[in-house]
Amino acid sequence: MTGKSIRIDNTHISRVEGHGNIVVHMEGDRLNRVEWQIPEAPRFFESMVVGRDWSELSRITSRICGICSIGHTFASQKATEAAMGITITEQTRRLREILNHAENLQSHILHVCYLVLPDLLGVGSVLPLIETHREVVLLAIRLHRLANETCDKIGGRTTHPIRACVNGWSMLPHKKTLEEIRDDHVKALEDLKTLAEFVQSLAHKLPDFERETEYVSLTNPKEYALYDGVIKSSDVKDFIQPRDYERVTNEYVDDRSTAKWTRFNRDAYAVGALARFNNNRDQLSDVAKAVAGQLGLSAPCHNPFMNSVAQVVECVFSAEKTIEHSQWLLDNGMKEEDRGFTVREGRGVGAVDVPRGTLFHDYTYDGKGKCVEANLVIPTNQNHANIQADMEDLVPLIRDMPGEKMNLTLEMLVRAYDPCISCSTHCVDLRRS
Amino acid sequence: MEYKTIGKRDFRDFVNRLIQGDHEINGVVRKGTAFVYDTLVDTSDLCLDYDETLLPPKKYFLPVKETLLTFKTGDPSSYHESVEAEPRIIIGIHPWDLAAIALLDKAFSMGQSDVNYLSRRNQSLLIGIYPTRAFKHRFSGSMITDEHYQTADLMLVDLGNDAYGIEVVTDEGRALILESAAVPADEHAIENMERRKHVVQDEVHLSMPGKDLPAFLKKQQQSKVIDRRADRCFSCGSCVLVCPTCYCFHVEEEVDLSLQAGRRTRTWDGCMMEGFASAAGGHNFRETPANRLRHRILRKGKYLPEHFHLPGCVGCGRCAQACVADIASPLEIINEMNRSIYLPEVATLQKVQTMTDKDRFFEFTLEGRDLGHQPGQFVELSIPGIGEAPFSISSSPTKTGCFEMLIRNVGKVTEAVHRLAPGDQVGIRGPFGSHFAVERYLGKDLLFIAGGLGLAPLRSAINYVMDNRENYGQVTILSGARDRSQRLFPEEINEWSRAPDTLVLETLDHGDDQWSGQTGVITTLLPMVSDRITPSDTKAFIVGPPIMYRFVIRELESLGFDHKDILVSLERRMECGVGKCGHCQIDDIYVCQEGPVFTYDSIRESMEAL
Amino acid sequence: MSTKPKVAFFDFASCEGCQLQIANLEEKIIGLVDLVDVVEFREVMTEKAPVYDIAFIEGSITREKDEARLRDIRERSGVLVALGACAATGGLNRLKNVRGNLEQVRRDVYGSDWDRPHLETYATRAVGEIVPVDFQIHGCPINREEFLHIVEAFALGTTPEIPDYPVCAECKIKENVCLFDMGQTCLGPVVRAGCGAICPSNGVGCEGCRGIIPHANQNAMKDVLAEHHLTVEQITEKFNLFPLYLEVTP
Repeated sequence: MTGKSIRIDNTHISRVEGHGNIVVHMEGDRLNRVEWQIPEAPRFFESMVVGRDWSELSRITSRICGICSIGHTFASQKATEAAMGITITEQTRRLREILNHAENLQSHILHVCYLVLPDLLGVGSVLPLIETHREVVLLAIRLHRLANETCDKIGGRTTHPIRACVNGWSMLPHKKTLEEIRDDHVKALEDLKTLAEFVQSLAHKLPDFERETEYVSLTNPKEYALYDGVIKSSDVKDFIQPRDYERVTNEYVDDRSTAKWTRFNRDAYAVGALARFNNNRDQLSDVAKAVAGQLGLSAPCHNPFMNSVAQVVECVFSAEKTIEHSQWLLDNGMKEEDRGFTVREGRGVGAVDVPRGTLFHDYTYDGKGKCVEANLVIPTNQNHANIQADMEDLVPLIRDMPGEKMNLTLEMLVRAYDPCISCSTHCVDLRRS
Repeated sequence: MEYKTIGKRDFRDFVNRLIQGDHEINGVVRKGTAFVYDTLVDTSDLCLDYDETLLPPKKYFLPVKETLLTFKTGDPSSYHESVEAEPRIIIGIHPWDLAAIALLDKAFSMGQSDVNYLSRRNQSLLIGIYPTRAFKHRFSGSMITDEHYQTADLMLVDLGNDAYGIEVVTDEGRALILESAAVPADEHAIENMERRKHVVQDEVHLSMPGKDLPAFLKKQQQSKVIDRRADRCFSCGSCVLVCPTCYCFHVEEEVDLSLQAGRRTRTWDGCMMEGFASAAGGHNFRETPANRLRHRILRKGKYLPEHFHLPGCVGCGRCAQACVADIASPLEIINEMNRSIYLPEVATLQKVQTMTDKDRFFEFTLEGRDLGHQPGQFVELSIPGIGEAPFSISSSPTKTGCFEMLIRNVGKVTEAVHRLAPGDQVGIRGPFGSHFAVERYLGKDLLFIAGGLGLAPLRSAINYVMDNRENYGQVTILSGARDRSQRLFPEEINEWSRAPDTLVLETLDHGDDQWSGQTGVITTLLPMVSDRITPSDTKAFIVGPPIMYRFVIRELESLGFDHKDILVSLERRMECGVGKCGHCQIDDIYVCQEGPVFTYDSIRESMEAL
Repeated sequence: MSTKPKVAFFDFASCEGCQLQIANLEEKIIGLVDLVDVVEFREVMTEKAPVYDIAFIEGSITREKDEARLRDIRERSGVLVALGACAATGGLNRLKNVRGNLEQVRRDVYGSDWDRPHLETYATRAVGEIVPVDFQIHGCPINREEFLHIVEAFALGTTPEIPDYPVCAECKIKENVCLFDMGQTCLGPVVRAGCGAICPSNGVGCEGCRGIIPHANQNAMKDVLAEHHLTVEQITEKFNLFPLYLEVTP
C-alpha cells in the first residue's frame, strides 16, 4: 500500500537493558527518518576513574553494568595487569574462565527466556508464561539460578563479584564446591537440550532477514574465545592485537546517541554471540555444533535475529567448559597464592568477549598506581551503528505490515542484539585527536 | 572426684564413635587462622589445642536466631510454641566458658523458665578442657573462672605427652566416658593433671580481686575513663555479640512470601548497640555511647554478680580481641579506673605568657581529652625530680581543647614551672575540689570580687558566665591589684566590661599618674555598686588573700547579703588532693575534698577558716 | 489482602544491577507476583500503567530532563522507594561530583563534543534530592532477601525495619575473622548492615555501598584507618568511593 504514512515513535523500548528509542517516519515510499536513538543518561565512568587507585578500578568499572559486571571486572583487571606487567597463574585463569562462562550462561538465559521468548509467544513479558508455559519458565529459572549460584560460589556475589581481584582471588572455593558446580552443570546439559528443542519449535517465528555484515570478535587458537584472545574481523584476514583496538573501533559521536558509534571496514559492524559464532564456529564442541545444526544455525549467518539462537548454542558450550575447568582445578588442586606485585606506570588494554560482544578496557597509570587516563569500548557501542543500518534496510521490507506488527518487528530487531545500553553510554576518548 | 586417663589416639577413636552415633557432635575446629565451634564430621576436625574461639559455645543453647512461635497471619489464636532441640555433645570448652554457661543456666531458669534454652541445654553433654595456649587478652584468673569445671560433665587435661587426664564430674559424664578406652588414673597421673591444669597463665591481670568489683564500680559511675573510651566507640555490638555471658535478644515477627503464615523469632542483640534502649516515639533511654559502655561495665562487674552470685565477666578476652577501636576490655577499663590516685597524667605546655614580674600564664593540653573540670577546681601539677603543687584552673570548661592556669613564682615547684617552654611536659592529677556552681544560679545576678591573684580562679567562672551570658542577670566584677604592674588579664577585663549588663570596676592599692581609676582597698568599690545590686537576687563570689575575706564579707553583710549567697575559695596547703595526707584540713574537713569553694554559711562557725 | 498492590520499576542513571536482583529472585519471582501486581517494569515487560501503589526507582538523577520524568512518576505513585545506592545516595555516580569541575569532566569524556545538547549532565543527585522518597533500599546491588522483606512489609501495610547498626555485627555473627586482624582495612564499623557482611565474608573490606549509619563515629573510623597505616589521601578516597560523607535519612 504505497502512500501510507507511517509514524513510529517508540520511546524507551521495553525488554532491553537501558533506554533506547525507535523512530520511523515514512511518507508514502519516502523514508524521512529511521533512527535508533540512545537517550540514556551518560554516567562518565572514564572520568570517575581518573585519579583513583589501581585497586579500586575494577570495583568501580564493574558498576558500569549489572548484567555483565563480571565481564567488566575481568576486562578491567586484565587492563591493569597488562599495564603493570603481571601474568596471572593458571589457577587464577581457570577460575576466571568458570566465572566468565557462568556469566555467559546467566546473561544468555535471561535474554533468550525473559526478554526474547515473550515476543515469540505473543505476550508482553515472561510473567503470563508462568501460567501458560510453566515447565519452560521453571526450566529457565533453574538454569538462571544455577548460573547465578555458580557466580556466587566462585565470585562471592553474582552482581559485582567480590572475590575477583587483580592478579588473583581474595578467597578460593572449597573442593566440595567445585564438585557441586561440575555435577550441577552435567545435569544442566539435559535442561539445555530441552530448552534447545523448545526454541527450535519457535525458530520459524524469527523474521527471515539478512544484511551482509562485518562481524568482530576475539579469537583464540586454543579454543572458542571468550575470556581471552586477539581481535578478528570477518572482513579481514589478519588478527589485531587487543592493544591496537582503536584501529578497529574508531569511535565517534553521533547526534542521535549519547553513546558513541564505531566503524571498521564498513559503516558498521556487529559483535556478540552471532559474531563469535560466525568467526569461530569450528572451535565449538561437538555437542554445541549439533545444537546449532538442530536450530538451523550455520556459519556465516547474516540474520541478526539469529543472535538469540547463537546464544542458546553458547549456553551449551559454556556449560561444557565449566565442567572441564572445574575438573581441571579438582585434579590439580588449588592453593593460596600471593597476589602481590610491584606497582609501576604503564598502559594496558584488557579485552574480553562478554555475552554481548567484545569489551575493551584501556588504562594508563602513573608510577604511584593512580589511573591518569581510561578508555572503555563497550560491545553495545559497537552494535549501535549496525542496528541503525539494519533498521534502514529492514523498514522498507516491512512497511506493509500492520503498524503494531511493524513496531514489534523493529523492537525484536533491537532485542535480538541483546543491547546493554547503559553500559554503552559513557563512551569516552580521553586522548583528544 | 574420679580421675581417668586416655591416650590421645584412643580419644580420637572415641570421638569418631560419637560422631557416628545419634548425638550432634560439636567441637572446636580451625577456621583460617582462627578457631570456632562447629559440627564435627570427622575426628581429625577437632582441635583442642586452641587459644580462643570467635564465638562462645552459648550459640548452641541460645542460637543467633531461633523461632519462638509460629502463627497464621491475623489469627492470634494460631500462635504456637516452637522448640527445637537435639541431643548434643560439645567438646573442648574452656573453664571460663563453662562458668559463663553456669550464669546463662541461672538466667534462663530463675524466675520464669525459658523452655527454648533449657531444652537445648538439658539435652547437651559438655566435655571441657583446661587451656593449653595463652591468649593475650585473657584474664580468667582474675575473675576466678580459670578452674571452673562444675558445669562440665567431663574435664580434659592435656598431659603434654600423648594422653589426656579426665576429671569425671557428673554421672552422665561417667556413663559417656565408659564407652571409651579411658582407664583409672594413678597417683602420678593425678599429680600431673593438677600441674597441667595451671600450665597456661594469664598475661594480664586485674589490679584488684574480682570479688571487690561490685563495690568498686558503685563508686565509679561518673568515671571519665568510660567517656574517654566511648569517644572511639562504633556502637557496632562486637563486644556483646562475642561475649559468653551476654544473652540479650531482640524479638520480632516475620512472614512468608505468601503472607499467610510466619514466625516470631529472637535474635542476639546487645546493649552497646545504638537502638537497644530506643522506644517507639523516638526516645532513646541510653542515647550516648558513654551511657551504653557505662551500663555494660556495671552490668558485667556489678549487676550480674550481685544478682546471680556468679562472675558476670568471665575474663575470656573475646571482646578485647573483637573491638576494632580497642576500647572494650573490661580489664583495661577497670584497671584504668583503679589507677593509683597518685599517678599523674602527662600534659603538654602549648603556650606561655608573662603577665607580671612574678606571674606567668600557661596553656596545657592533655593527650586526646579535655580536663573536664568545673570553674573553681584545682589540679596538682608535677615536675619529676622537683615536686608537685596545687594550682587553680583559670580557664572556663567551655573553652575546650586545652586548660589554662596563672601561676605565681613563689616556691620550689613554681620556680621550675616558670622555666618551662612550649613543648615541655608535666604531670597533672585532678581536677579536684568543689567548684563555683554557677550552673545552678541561672537567672541570678552575680557579683565577683577578686583580690590580686584571686582573679585567676574567678576567671574560670567569669568566662563560663560570659560564654552563657544570656542565662544570667546582671554581672558585677570588682578586681583589686597592688599596683598597675600587678594587674592581671587587662584585655579580658576590657572585654568583660563590654558585655551586656556587665560592670567591671578596678582598684589599685597604689595608683600612679597613668592610672585614672579608683585607688584604695577593694572594699572601697562596694559602696560604688550598692545601688545596682539587689542582694536577695545576687550570688557573690570572693577570692583573694586571706586577710581580704573578713573585710569584704562584713561589707556584704551590711549590704544585706545572706550568708548562703556568699561563696569563698579558701587556699590551704594542698598536697595529695584526695583527702588523705592531712595538710589542708580546716577543723574537721579536708579543703581539697569539700572545698576550696565554700558558702560562707558553712564555714561561719569555723574556728580556722577565716 | 483483597487487592494486590500495584508495583512498578523504573530506572535512571544506573547499571540496572538492582533491578536484575528481582530477576535473580529465581523461583521466588512466582511468590512475588502472587503477592503484588507488577504493572510496569520496562526491562522485562511491555505493559505500562497509569498509577502505582509502589514505584521502585533505580538510578541517580544526572540531568534536568530526568527530573520531569521522575516527578511524573512520583505524582502517579502512592509510595516511592529508592532502589539501591544510586537512587538512595547517588552511589558510585557521585564520583563524578568528587572530581569537582563538571565542565572538565564532560570534556574528559566527550572531548570537543562536550557541550552538544544531548550530552548534557549535571552533578549527580539521589532520588530523594528531587522528590520525596518514602523508603530507601540500600546496597550496590541491593540484597534480594531484604527486598522481599520490604515488599512483604508494604503488602502487610506495615513499615519495614532495616538495620541501623554497623556491618561488624553481621561479621561477628558469621564468625568471620576480622579483616583488620588480617592486615586489611574495612569500613564495616560505620556502614549500615543488612548485606550479611558479604564483602568481608569474601575476604574484601567493606566499601560502604549501603551508606553510612546514623551517628556513625567517623572520627574514630578515620583514626583506626590511620592506625592501620592508611594515609590521609587513602582515607579520603575510602570515604568518597561511595558517598559516605552523606547521611541519608531513611
